[in-house]
Amino acid sequence: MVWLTWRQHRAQMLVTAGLLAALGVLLLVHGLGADGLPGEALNARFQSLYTYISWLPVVPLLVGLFWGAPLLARELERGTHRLAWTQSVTRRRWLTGKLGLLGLVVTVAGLALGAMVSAWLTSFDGVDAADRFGDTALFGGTGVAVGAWWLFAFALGAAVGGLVRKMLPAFAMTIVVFVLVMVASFQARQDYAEPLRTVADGPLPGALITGSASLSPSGVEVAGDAVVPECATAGRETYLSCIEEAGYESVLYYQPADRYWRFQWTEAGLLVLLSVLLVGPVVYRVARRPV
Amino acid sequence: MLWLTWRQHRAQTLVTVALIAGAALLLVLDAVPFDVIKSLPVVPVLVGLFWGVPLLTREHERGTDCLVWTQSVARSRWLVVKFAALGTAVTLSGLAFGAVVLGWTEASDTPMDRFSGEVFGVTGVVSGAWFLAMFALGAASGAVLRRMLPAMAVTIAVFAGLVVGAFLAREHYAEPEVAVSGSHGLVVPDGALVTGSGVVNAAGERLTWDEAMSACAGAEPVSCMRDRGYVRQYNLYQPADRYWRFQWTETGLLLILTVVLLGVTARQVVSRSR
Repeated sequence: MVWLTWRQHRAQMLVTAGLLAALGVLLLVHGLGADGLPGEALNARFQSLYTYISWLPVVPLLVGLFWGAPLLARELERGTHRLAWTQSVTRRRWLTGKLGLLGLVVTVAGLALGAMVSAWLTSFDGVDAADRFGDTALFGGTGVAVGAWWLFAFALGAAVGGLVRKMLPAFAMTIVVFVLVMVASFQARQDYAEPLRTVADGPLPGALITGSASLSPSGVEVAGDAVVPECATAGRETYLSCIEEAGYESVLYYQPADRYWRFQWTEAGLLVLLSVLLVGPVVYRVARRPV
Repeated sequence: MLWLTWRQHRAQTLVTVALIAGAALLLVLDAVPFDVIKSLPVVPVLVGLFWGVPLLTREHERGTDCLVWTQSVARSRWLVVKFAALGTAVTLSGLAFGAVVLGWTEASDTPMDRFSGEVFGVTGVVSGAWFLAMFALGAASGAVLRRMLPAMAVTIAVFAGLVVGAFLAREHYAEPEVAVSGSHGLVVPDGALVTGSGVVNAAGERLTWDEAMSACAGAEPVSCMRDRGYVRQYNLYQPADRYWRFQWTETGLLLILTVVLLGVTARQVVSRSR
């Protein structure tokens, strides 16, 4: 099974390994070149690559399309499953072997990408935007979550391919579901734990800001997007000075920077769970269904 | 032929229309997911994958080209009608999508800049040009490779190269204006696209950050820069009113690319025997 898996999927594996290596060299060169730059220039150098790094959240989708979706859909569409599943290797073993091996490879590749991006980020310590927690793209592209995202995309592609049994519709459905899950994760991330609250204005380095409010002298809290009653008539320009005069203090809700790993494991756990839920029924169905 | 084209491609057409309508609905409902905006530049590749690549690979992989190209409709006519009908549909979709995204940027509370890299390529007329060019790219790679998965991979790779290329080339469509910091810091007009920055030396010459840093190699950067008289900074920028000029420039470049790619496709289909 290992030989068969390698033989059928070596194109994907080699292309992925090649792309990861190229990206690694790029990140290494870019990160090393940032050594010793002053604030403004460091920021500019970070932004010059961040434009592309900010597309990291869609990278796992490629795994879903080129590793996951063809796994079953290609066999089923071409009818080669009739040959593959009537050999001495049972269908169940064929499925678990392929899913297990490729899932492992995909997860390791994702973790390698995450490690490279994390290492690159350490070159930009002083840059505000280089925030592995507050930035959606960087949170999902570093730590353990990135491996889970790759695994999830692979599982999603495989499951959809097994259900739809044709490549093009499987591709389209994989993209749609992946985008929905991605957007949902952006929304859900800040609620993985009860946020902390602070009234002081001080900077919160590396924290994930989840909301803001205004606190009146009498202790009433007005949500950040609502208008403070005392200043309902103030104009756009005078509003901020008005609430300051009325004695309001600003309140911030945030997730402190040391929750980064906890949140990483939460997201990774959710995605792995989702992967199992997706793949399980498909394995069951494919193993039971007549060829 | 028109009936055949519609019949073979109605799934893509309906899904595309539904997705654009969905995007417009988000705008109407005031529920625009701003986190997603950074990912918008990758949208045109979907056109390449689902409209362009299957156009020929589906026929080749299934062997249906044997049937299709031996009917009374000549191969050249088959191709011309498909190009014209699907190209028009794709371009119109791109323009509609561009209009919706432009609406998104205006609906944003924080002023979103339509000139910025994230949205420039998916707003205005260039959105239609990107959709059309990616359709042609997918068709061409499908015509050359004849297999779906490799053609999709090549389409994505070439698209990624083109997007990065466009990001880098865009600021050079016209000579940038210069803003030098005075006592109030840097002043760049609203909506402008900042394309570069650096320091101005005592003689008034502009040095990029890299040049200034290499001049200060080995020394403590901040004090070295002060000693050398690098106290003022400058920004290069493209003013906001160049937006439409840049849109048409990029549209023109993409249309040239489209013509080349469609030419490659046509050559593969018409002159190559099976």
